Amino acid sequence: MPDKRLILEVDGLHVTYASRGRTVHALQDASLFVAEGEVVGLAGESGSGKSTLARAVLGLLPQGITRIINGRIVIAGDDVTHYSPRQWEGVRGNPVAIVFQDPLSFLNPVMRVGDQIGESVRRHDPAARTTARSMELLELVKLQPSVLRRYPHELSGGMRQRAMLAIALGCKPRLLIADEPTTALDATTQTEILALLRELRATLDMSLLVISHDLGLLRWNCDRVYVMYAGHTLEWGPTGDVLARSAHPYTRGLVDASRLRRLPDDHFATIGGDVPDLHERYRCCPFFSRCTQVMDVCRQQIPPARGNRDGHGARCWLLEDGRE
Amino acid sequence: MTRNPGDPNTEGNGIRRISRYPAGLASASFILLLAGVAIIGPVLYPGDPLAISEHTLLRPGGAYWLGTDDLGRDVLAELVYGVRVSLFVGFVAAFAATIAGTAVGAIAGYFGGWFDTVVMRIAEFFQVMPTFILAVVIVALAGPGLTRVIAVIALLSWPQTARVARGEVLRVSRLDFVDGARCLGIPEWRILFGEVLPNAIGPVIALGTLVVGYAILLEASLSFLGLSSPDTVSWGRLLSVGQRFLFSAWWLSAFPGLAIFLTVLAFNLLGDTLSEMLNPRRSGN
Repeated sequence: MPDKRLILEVDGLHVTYASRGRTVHALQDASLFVAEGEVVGLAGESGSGKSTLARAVLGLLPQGITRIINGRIVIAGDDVTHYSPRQWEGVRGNPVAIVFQDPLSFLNPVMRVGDQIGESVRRHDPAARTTARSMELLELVKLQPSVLRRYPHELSGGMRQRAMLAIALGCKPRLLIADEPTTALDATTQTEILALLRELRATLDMSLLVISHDLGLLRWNCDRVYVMYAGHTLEWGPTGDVLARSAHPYTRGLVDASRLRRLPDDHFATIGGDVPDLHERYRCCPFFSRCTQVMDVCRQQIPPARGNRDGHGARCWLLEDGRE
Repeated sequence: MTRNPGDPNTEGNGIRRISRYPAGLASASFILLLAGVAIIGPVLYPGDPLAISEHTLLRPGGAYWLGTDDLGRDVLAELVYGVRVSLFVGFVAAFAATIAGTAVGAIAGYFGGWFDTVVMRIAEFFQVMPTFILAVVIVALAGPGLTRVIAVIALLSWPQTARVARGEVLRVSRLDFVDGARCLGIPEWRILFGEVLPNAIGPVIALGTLVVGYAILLEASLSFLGLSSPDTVSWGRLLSVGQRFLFSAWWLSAFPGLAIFLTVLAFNLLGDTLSEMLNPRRSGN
């Protein structure tokens, strides 16, 4: 999408953690971009690096044990890869805000919801009248004004998630990251929160990066999706293309396992093999050991990124054969 | 985390919550009574604690409820005035120690680094020293006086508060909502004092109450040794006078001793109750 300005660009990010004397390569080759006004999904199983990527984009990687080996993060045109903690304070909230999976633990238990919303409003919009703006934000997320005086523990799960959203929106973000925004909620509440996110994106003119293991959720809400595996972005493109005409065997496996596409014999599909070992840096395709269509070249070399004109692409040697 | 609806340990306001702890309630009432005596006691019992009379060493009863000392001074009037000194020293010293200890401990725990290392080594130095002897030496060198006594007590009490504050701040600063606040771009020092500290302050307040009792006891001990101001009426000084007549006039030692004992006990019980009430690990389940 060269005609649109990019709010976020992550390019070949390689991040390691030091863990009990060993190095964990949590992200190895992660690349993605989010254009202004776009809704982008990031899919992958646990340990694929989704949350590490989200934390990296906010400069929240644990200090001291984390190293950014390679790659860069560009937010609204600024290269923030090696920002100092003080510089990060100018990125967080605005232009980039985040809502987390578990709203209760991310809300301050001893502060009223109104004070927490007010705090984010005062920080990012000092000219605004705090109370009026807080009421406005509550209305935006469809909460009663009385919620301002409540403590987080007095709210239901769905209300807490809305309160978190109001706090994040108080920062007037240009990009909102939603990290598993509905995983902790029941099905009805999930639908409501998703509808709310869709509505907000339209009214507030911001970009959304939705992180989820649930392909079904991403399918209905995202313009484009990225599929992550073992710290690599393996496939990307317009949501419909990626899910319906998956280029990578891993994506096909995920789609089958999530039952978006019904299997002929009505069985549950699984992906065979073990989860990847992140203690090593892959010098080949990270998925080769579990891939049903593995070739010799897959074990020897990293597949290059190949894409078509619609922006649908993948890293897989199968594409080199001219197949898709 | 701090309060759960339906949890009897955390439900209701402060007075209703403390009423579930009889010892705590009794202590709090006693301390309120003492505070009342300190404020309006001299009005209710208008005797001059320093007035000398010809009625020396009178037994309790009669015109002098708690008797008189060797110079004919009214023991009850002295006790009533002594409440002021004890509570003043206790509260001011504990307040100073709590403020200083909390600030130092919180910054050390939150930011770590060399400040943490240096400050905590100093705190440990104070903790391994026998504090009473240190207090005696410092007061003896600096000279007696109420302000100096308060300063010494605060100096000896802050390390304990600092250690507790540091531990609590370390625990709280690992919780998710601190990252949440960071995600809003709130500056670190405001996260520490606005988000972390309010969640870490419970045990510090409980300890502060214990420090009040400790400070009262230390002040009494110092005045007993004649190291406090000679012209203030203090329970410890009453004790040191009474000591000379221990076998002939028991009431000179017994009543000040009882006053010190009950007051320190009350602050200790209240401190225990508060730490029970404010303990996040207890109220979490």
